[in-house]
Amino acid sequence: MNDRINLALPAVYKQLGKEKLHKALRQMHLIRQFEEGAEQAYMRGLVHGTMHLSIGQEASAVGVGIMLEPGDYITSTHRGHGHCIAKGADPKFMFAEFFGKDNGYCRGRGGSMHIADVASGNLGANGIVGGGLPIAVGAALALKQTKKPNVVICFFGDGANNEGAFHESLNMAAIWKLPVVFVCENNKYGMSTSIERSTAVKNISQRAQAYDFPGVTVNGNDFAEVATAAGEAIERARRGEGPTLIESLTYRHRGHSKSDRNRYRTKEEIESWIARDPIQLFQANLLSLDLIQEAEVADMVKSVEIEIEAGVSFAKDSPDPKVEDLTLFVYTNTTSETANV
Amino acid sequence: MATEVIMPRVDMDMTEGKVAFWYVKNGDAVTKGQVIFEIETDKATMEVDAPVAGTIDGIQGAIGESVLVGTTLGWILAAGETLATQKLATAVAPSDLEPDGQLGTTESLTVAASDNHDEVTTDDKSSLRATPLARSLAHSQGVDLSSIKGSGPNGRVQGADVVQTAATAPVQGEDSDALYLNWIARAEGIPLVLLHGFGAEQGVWRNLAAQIKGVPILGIDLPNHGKSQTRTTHSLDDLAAAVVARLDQEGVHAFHLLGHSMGGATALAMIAKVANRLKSLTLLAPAGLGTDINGGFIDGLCRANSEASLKPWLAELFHDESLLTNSFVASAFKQLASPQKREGLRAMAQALMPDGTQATSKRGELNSLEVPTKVIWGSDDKIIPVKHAQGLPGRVALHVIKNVGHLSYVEASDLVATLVIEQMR
Amino acid sequence: MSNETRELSYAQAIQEALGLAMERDERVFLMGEDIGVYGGAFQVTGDLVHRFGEDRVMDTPISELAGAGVAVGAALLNRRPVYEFQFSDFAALAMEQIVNQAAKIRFMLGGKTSVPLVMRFPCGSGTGAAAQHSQSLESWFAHVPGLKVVQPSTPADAKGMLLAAIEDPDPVMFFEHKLLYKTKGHVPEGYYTEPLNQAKIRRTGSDVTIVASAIMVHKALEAAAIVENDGISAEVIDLRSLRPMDYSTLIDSVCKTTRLVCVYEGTKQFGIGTEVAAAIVESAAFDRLDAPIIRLGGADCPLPYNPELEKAAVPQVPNIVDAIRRSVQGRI
Repeated sequence: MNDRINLALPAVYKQLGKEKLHKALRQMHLIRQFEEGAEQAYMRGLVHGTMHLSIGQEASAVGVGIMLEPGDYITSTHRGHGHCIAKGADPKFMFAEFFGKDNGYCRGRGGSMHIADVASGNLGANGIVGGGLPIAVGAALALKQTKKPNVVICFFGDGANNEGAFHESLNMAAIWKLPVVFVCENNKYGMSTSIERSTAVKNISQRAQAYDFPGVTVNGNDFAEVATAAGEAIERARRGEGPTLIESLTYRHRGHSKSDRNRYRTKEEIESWIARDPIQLFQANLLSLDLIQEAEVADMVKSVEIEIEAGVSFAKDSPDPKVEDLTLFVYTNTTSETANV
Repeated sequence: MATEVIMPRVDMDMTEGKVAFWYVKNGDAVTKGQVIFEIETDKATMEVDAPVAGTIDGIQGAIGESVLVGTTLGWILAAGETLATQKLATAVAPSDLEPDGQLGTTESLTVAASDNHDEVTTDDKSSLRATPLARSLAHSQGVDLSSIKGSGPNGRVQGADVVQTAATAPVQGEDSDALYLNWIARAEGIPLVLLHGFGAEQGVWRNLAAQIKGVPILGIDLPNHGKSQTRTTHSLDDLAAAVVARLDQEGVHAFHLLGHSMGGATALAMIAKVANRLKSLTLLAPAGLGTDINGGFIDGLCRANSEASLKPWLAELFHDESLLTNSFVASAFKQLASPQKREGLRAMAQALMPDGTQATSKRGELNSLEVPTKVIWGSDDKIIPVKHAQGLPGRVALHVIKNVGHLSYVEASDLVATLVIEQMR
Repeated sequence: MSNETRELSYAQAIQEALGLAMERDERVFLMGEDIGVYGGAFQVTGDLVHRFGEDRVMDTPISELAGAGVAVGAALLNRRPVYEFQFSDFAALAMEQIVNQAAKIRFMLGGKTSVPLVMRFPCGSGTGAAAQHSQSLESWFAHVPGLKVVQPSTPADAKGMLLAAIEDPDPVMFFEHKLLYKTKGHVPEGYYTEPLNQAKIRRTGSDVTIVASAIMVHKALEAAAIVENDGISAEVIDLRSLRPMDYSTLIDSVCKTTRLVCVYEGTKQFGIGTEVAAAIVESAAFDRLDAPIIRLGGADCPLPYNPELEKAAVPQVPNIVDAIRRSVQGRI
C-alpha cells in the first residue's frame, strides 16, 4: 500500500473537475466534523443507545459517492454516517434522528443504525451485518427490469464478507449481471476479530474470482485511487457488464462502538493510521496541485463548523415523537392494522 | 416510642436481602450507631447499625432467608415499652417466620397483618365452580349462584342451570314477575326487539312486523301492559332492567332495538346495560329526550272508562283522524279495561310523567352510542313534540315525516319498515 | 367482475391469480426455485414462464436468504416481487431478511416507504415428507409486527387473496397447505380481490364455535356434519387471515354460541389457537363462555415419517368431533 502523496495529476481529478473536487473535500470535512459532533453529543448524554463512528474512513465513502449520479442508490452498514453524507444527506436531519426526534430522517424510530432516505437513493444503514447485500442486489434487479442506466453501491465491511448473505448475493448479482458495485471497506477488524483470524483469503477482493467477476484492492485512504476504481466499476455496471468487488483498505480511528475499549489493537497501530489521515492527504494533494488555496480551505472548514453547529441546535430544538403514535408506521393502511381486542 | 428495625435498601436496584448474622439478641441494650446485624445482597455484605438507642426485642427473620426490602426484622424499644403494645407490620408471609433456635424468644410473637399487607384468604366464592356465562346470567337475573346445583363436570354451574332455575317459576304471564314476550316472527339472525308505548301492548306491532321479512322479531309487554304483571315501576331504569332480564332469560344476546314513545325512553335507558349487545337503535317519537309531554292525553287515557270517553284522546295520536278506526279504539280500550290495569298505569304515569312533565331525560345516553341510530318522528305529533329531536349527536339520523302524528308505525308504516330494514343491513 | 364461476383446483386458482396480476401490472414478477420450465415443485407456476418469459418468471439458485433479500430490495424500488419458497420449512434460511428487514423497514424509516412483496409458502403435512418438509410455521410470522400472514382454505379465496396480497403495499406471507393444491372449488372468472383481514363463517350454528384455518377448515366442516346427527349445531369459522386477525367475527360468534374449539395444524403450544383463546378471554365474549376453551393443535414432536404417526401428529376429524361433544355436552 502506497501512502506517498501522488504528485502526478490523477486522471480522475481531470474527469471530476475543480468544483467536484472541492465538493468532495468539503464532504470529507463534513463527515469528520459530523462524527466528532455526534461523539460530543453522545458524551453529553444526548444520544440514546450507541454509535458506530467512521472517523478515518472518509476517503472511502466520498471517493465512491462523488462518482454517483442522483438516480443511483446505495445500501450501507451500521457504520453508515459517512455513506449517508456522501450520498447527500443533510446533517441536521441526521442529528435529529440521533436525538430520537420526530423530524429526524426516520422520525426517531430508527436511530443511528437505520438512517435512510429512500427518496434520494439511500436505501439505508443496516443493523444486521450483511443485511444490505441482498437488498442491494434486489434494487439492482429492479433497475435492470426498468431499464434504468443507474447503479447500486453496496457498502459493507470486512466482517460481512464471511456472512452467507455475501456469498449468495455476489453469486446472484453475477449470474444475472446486475448493476451493483460491492464496496468492502476493510478496516482490518470485525468488532474485535482481525481479518487475519476471520477470513480464509489474504485479500477480500480475491473472492470475486469465486463468482467470476473483477475484484480489486485499493488504498481506501487515497481519494484518487478509490474514485478511479469506483468510476470504472460504475461504468462497467452501467454498460450492463455486471458487478465488481472493490476492497477499500482503510481504518477506523475510534473503536467499533461507544463501548469498545480497544483491547484488540495496539496504540501504535491506531496512531500510525491517524498519521495517515485521508482528509489531510487529499487536502495536501489538492493544495500542492494548486487545485485549492489555503484561504479556501479555511473558509470551507469554517462553513462546515457552522453547518454542524446549526445541525445540532436544530436537532436539540426538534419535537419528540408522540407516545400515542407508537404503532403508527407498522403497516401502510392503519385500518387494516391488527385490532386490539 | 419504639423504632422498627428493617431490611434496608443499600443498592439502587436492590429488592431483597438476607440477614447473614445477628450481633445482638432480644433484650440487649443498644446504642445509636451500634452494629446490630449483617446483611447479604447479591452485590456485597454489609453491616447495619441501630437507628436509635434502646432495647432490642422481637427479632425475627431467619438467617439466610431472603426477605423483601422494608421487612421488619425487629424493634428497638424505649424505656418502659414492651412488644405487646406494638402493632407488628410485616411484608413477609407468616411461614417465613418459623421460630429459630438461634433467635431466642420468637414463639410468643403474634404476627398481625398490617393494613398494607395483601392477605391471601380463601374466598367462599372460589369453591363455587360456575362458567362465566352462568355468572353473568345469574347476575343479570338476580339469581343466587350458590343456590344452584350445577350439571357440569365437578358440579360446575352452567348457563342452562341458571336459566332452568329461573324457568322453574312460571315463565311469564299473570303469575310471574317476568315480562310477557312474544316471538312475532322466527328466522335466522339477530332479532329485532320491539317496545310499545304507554297504554299499548306488543300486539300493536303486527302490521309493521309483517313488512319486515326474514328477520326474527319479538315484542315485549312492558310492566303494567298487555299480559305483563302489574308491578310498581319507579323509573325508566326499572323498565329497562325488566326488559333486559327478560331478554337474558330468553337467551337473546345480540339484538336490534326499536322503541316507541315510552318504549323509546325505555330503550334509551337500556343502552348502558347492554353495551355491545345492541346492534342498532330505532326510536319512534321517544319519550326521554325532553321535558314536555301531553299530560292531558295521559290523564285522559288513564281516566277513560268507556270507548266513547277514550276515543277523543286517541284521536290526538293521529294526524289523519280518519285512520282512527273503531277496531283501534276497541283494542286500545281492552288494554285499559281492568281497574287494576288503569291504577297501575296511573301510578306509572305519576312516576314517569307527572303533570305533563317527563321526569327523566335520557338524552345523554345517545352521546357515546356507536351503532346505527335513527330517530323517526311525525311532524304533527301532539303527544311528544318533534322539537325534542333537535340537537341530538350528529351520528343520529333524524327522519321527520310530514303529516304524521304520534303513531308513525301506523300512519307511515311502510316508510318506517324501510328505515328499520336499513338499520339491520 | 364476472359472475361466472367454474371449477378450478387450488393450484390452478393460484396460477390464474399470478397470471392476471402479471398481465395487469408490469411491476409484478415471480422468483423461486424451479418455477420456470419445471413449473414449480407443486406445479403451481405451470406454464407461466412460457407466457411471460424468464425475466418475469425467474428461477433462482438455491439461496433463500439472498432471494428473500432481493425481493426486499426490488420492492423498495417499487417493483412487486412474488417469491416462492419451495417448502415453508426453508423460510428458516431467510428469516433474517423477512423478520429483520421486510417486516421492519417501514417502521424503522418512520413510515417513509414500504415493502410491497409477497412470499408464498407451501406448507403442512400428510405427504410423507417428514420433519423438515412438513411444518406449519405460520405462527412464527404472525408473531412479527410489520408482516401480514394469510392462509386461504378454498381455491376461490386463494385466487382473490393472492391478488389482494400482490396489491397490498406491505409484506404478505401467503401460506398454501400442500394437501389443498389438488382440491377443487368454484372460482369466479376475471380479476377480483378478497380482503386480507376478514374471517368467513363457513357454516352457521348455535351450540359451539369452531375456529380453524387452512385444511383444518375442511376437517371442521366434516366434523360439524357428523355432530349434527347428535343434535349439535356447530358454527365453523375460516380464519383466512392470521395477521391481522378478524377478532370481531370470532367474538360475536362466541357470544352467540358460548363455546369455542380452536383447530390448527401448527404445534399446539404457542400456536394459532393459543392466540384465539386468549383474545376471546380478554374480550366481551368472556362472560358468555359456558365451557372451557379447547385447543386442538399439532402434537409436541417433529412430524414423523411413518404414515400412521404422521396422521396422529395433527388433528383429524374424529378428534374434532370428540372435542365438539366434550364441549357441548359439558363433560370437560
